[in-house]
Amino acid sequence: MSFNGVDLARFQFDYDQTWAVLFMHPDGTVYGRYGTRAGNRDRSTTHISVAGLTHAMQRALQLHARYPANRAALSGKQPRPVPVRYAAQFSWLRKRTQQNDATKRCVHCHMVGSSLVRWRWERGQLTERDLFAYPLPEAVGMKMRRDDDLVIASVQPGSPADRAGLRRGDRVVRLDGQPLISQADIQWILHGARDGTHLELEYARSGRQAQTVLRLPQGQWRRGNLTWRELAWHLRPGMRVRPASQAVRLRLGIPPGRMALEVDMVFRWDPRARRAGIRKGDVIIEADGRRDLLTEEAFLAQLWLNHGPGDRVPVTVRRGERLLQLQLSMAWHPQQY
Amino acid sequence: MVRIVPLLSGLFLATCLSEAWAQQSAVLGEDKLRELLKDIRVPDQWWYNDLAGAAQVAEALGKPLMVVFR
Repeated sequence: MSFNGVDLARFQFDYDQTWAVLFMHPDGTVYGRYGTRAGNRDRSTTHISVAGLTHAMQRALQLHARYPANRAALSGKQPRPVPVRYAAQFSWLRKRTQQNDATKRCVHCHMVGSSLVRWRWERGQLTERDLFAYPLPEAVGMKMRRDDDLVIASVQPGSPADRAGLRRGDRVVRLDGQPLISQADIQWILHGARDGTHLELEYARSGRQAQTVLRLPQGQWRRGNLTWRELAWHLRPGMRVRPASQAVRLRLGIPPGRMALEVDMVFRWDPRARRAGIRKGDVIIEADGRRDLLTEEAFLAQLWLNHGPGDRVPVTVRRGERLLQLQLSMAWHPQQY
Repeated sequence: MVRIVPLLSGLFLATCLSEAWAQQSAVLGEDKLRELLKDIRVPDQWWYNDLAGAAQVAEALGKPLMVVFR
């Protein structure tokens, strides 16, 4: 069996992963998840480790020992409805799955993740939840320890975790009624949670159990660093941008708080930016009528959440002293895998 | 390719590997896993090529499944 044949209605996790694990009863009941990719290209594994996996395995065995008495508590961990059950049902993956060469035929996990985003985008259904899928606990202000990833390493001041009274060293035991085996379980719950709701959270501090409520904001709380995700290479419209340096801002006279994203790479393999006339070193100062898009994530979210296939998005670019009005055409790349 | 290995007392391991990646060193490869699990007696090292088969064996032994994707 290759991932081509993996049942997406059963195996659901953050598909942009270096290493992901599902612990299951043989009847298919999911005990929990482990793993992500957030470590980025150097594979420094900022969020996964052998020690962390060991803890997850031990907790999975504990849940297995109590099964099926704990079946109700595990209900929230079970798969959610999906629009497509097998990778080959995505038309742009079908040709790949029919290749004779086994290497070329293999569908990678991240291809499924990005295909789910593309599927919704082409139907006008794309949401923040799809684009910023499986938020790390950092999204609610909890940075977890890598080697024991249910223990809080730090709390972001003013964050939902901070307002819930959580502190460094607290061990999160249960969230939204679900027993946890790793921070991938927290990602799963945050991914499925609705904005503006609250999640009951049980934790241990100095050996004592306590309860609190994690209140999720409305709006853009899911937004985090997209750059480690393979999805980002599909969303980037033929170029990569980064916030312009202070020196560049000063040279161009762009005040703080106003958009200034410098194009640091125009892709050879993807014509979208080249066709718009964008060059490396250009500084985008306005996109889609917005001048407050300060990060690549904000820029990409503006494009993909507000425009569909074939739309043309106006961008204003500084190229030295020149001011250029250009247009980006919205299209997924590549068309076929 | 999914490789499913009954490795340890409590868990079965299924690894989903692309056939190209299978030749490369993994972030957490089989050797590392076996080292991690060395204190757990393993009756044999054998491989399953289908999840349903592994699930049947796990069910018979009363053990959970651990399915790994990378």
